[in-house]
Amino acid sequence: MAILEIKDLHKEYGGNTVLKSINAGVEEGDVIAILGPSGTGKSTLLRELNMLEHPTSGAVIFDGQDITQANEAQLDKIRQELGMVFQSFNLFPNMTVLDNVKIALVKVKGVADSEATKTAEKFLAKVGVADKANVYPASLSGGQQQRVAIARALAMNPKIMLFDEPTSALDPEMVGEVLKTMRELALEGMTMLVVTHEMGFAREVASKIWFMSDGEMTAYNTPNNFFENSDSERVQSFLAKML
Amino acid sequence: MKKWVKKLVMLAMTVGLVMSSGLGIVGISSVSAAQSDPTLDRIKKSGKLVVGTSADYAPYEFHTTENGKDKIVGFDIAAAREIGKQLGVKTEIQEMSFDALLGAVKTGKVDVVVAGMTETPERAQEVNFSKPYFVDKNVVLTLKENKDKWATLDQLRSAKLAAQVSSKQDDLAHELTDKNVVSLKKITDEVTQLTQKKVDGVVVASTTAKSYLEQSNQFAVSPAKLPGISNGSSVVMNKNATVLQAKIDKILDDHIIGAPLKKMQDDAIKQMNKQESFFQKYAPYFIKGTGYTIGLAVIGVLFGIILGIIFALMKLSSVKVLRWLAAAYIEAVRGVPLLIQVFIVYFGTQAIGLNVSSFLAGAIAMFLNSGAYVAEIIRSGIQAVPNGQTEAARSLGFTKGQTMRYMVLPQAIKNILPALGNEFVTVIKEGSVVSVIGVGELTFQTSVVQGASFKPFIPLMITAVIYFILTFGISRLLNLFEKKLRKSDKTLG
Repeated sequence: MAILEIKDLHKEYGGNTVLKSINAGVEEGDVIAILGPSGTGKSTLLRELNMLEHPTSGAVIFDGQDITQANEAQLDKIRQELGMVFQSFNLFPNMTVLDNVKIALVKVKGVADSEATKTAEKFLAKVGVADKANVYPASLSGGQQQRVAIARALAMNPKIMLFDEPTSALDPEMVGEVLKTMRELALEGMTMLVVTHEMGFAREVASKIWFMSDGEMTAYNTPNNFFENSDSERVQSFLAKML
Repeated sequence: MKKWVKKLVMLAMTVGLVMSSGLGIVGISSVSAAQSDPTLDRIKKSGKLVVGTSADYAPYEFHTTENGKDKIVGFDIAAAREIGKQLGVKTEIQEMSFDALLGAVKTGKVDVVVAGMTETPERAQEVNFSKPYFVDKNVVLTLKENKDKWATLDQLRSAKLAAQVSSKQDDLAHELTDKNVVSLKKITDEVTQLTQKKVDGVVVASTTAKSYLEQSNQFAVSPAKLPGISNGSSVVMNKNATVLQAKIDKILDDHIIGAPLKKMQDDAIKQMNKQESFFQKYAPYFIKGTGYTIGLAVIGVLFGIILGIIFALMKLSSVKVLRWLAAAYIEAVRGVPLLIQVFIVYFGTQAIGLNVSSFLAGAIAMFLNSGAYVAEIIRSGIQAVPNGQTEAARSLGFTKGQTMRYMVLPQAIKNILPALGNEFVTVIKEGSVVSVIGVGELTFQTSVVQGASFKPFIPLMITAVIYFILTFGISRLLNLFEKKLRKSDKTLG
């Protein structure tokens, strides 16, 4: 059964149609790479899956509930289940790395402080930045910051992880360490949706490809179907530019 | 602040008056009308004689500094203290402008007025006058170099004359000249205008003129014989103070008129011409003014912050009406000069029937103004926190309020604090504007010293230096503080 279902999703911005009738389903354990040229609505689609942006029409069914109809209080609950990692990391600069990971556990989930510390330390170790627990984010490299951001999202024990171009803001030498962390996560069976321009990652790690072009989305059941067997002109021209 | 306290004291005294007159009614059968009157009752009850005066009329009454402290002295004051002593009560001097004195004695804010005031038919309808304790004639004080130009009454007809507003000299000046009379509240201002040649002569009592002649050789007295000969200075009291009046007349006869008054006058002139350095004499004015200036700025910014937070939150709210109201207020306040706002508050409160002191009106105008600027500082500080911070927090399940509290505000404060410091510096400087409504802050005191010392420039320089020390000192402190904030950013994160 699909853990997440997108039904006839539309998005308009001041007369511009960004998303035209998106329909798709996400199964548990799926690793979906969302690919496509810039400005075709990939990030918009992802941000509508946890209601950071509200669709103009359509439905997003998560765990049997249409979250486009949820009120603010319900959304606060739902968002705990949908971890999100941003292009620009968005760590809280006024808190230590440990507190960045802990604070939502303590203030949102109401976990006891000592337990939250343990959980946070566990996830920081998992992403390989345990030694940075007590420094502030500004002293970390971009790659380290993004891994902390992943640990922060993971600590909430989400059902799905949403990645919005997680390596686009990184220096090239840092991209590898973040992709490695994501690959490990995928191998553990985490359900992931990843907006990315990393074709290698998409080909090797993703189980499905969603190709977005001009606000329309085509789903491919395997990376191979997309990379090797698509006869779509749009896909061909996109791949020609990317590879 | 002192004026404000004064208002309170006056209010308390008015209440006291009402209560004591009430008690008077109760006690009417036991106290014969010939033995007391309401004013005397009040004096006895409070144990003090409250004397109103306008202390800019040397050597009658004027400010001086004794051991660095500002004091009101003069032969009128010495006489008033003698009256208090003979009545067996303490004497308290209350200063106000000359044109406010009659109102004060009529409403009971003061018990008597001793201010070289002369009886006129108009005044006699309003208040009671004691017998004159000192008779002085009026003269025209002019510059020595122009003495011959203004030597006769005919010549004076074309002179531009100054006199103290609503004084007898003011009436006389109108009779003397065909030109408009410059009516000023303070004699020191009139004399400054004379030295700056903005007026040709000042109509004053001869005693006053004499003291100016002794102070500086640039002055002379016009030899023209003025009509309306003399001013008999009397003690002024309420119409109801009939018993008090008889007592005071007797005290004047027994203890003041004659040799005692002569000695008081000699003492006063000595005090007036006391050799003192400029600084010794006027430092208290600058210190007082600086205190008021800082006080105004602190009130302005503190209440401004409260108002600013409210308007900033309104402007960031999702309710359209609130946003619109806040925007309208901020734009209106920022689009109108502070000077106009000060006048609007000062006269506006009067118009709606609130008798607000000038300090309070000034402080209100300052914080209403500052609030608009602080609102923008806070709003932009909050909006300067990247939206990604909010998105990250919301995606973790934080509510709007929690996001504001844990993520946005702690980061916004770092943007806001330095800007608030700058606003404090701005408010210190802008405080000078409220001098227009008579708040005794630094700029106001400067003009007082300019007038009293006949030195227009030095007081300005001193004031400039004080302002600079205040503002520069504060911005240095702020810089240190900002550095510390930045340093903590670096070492910790």
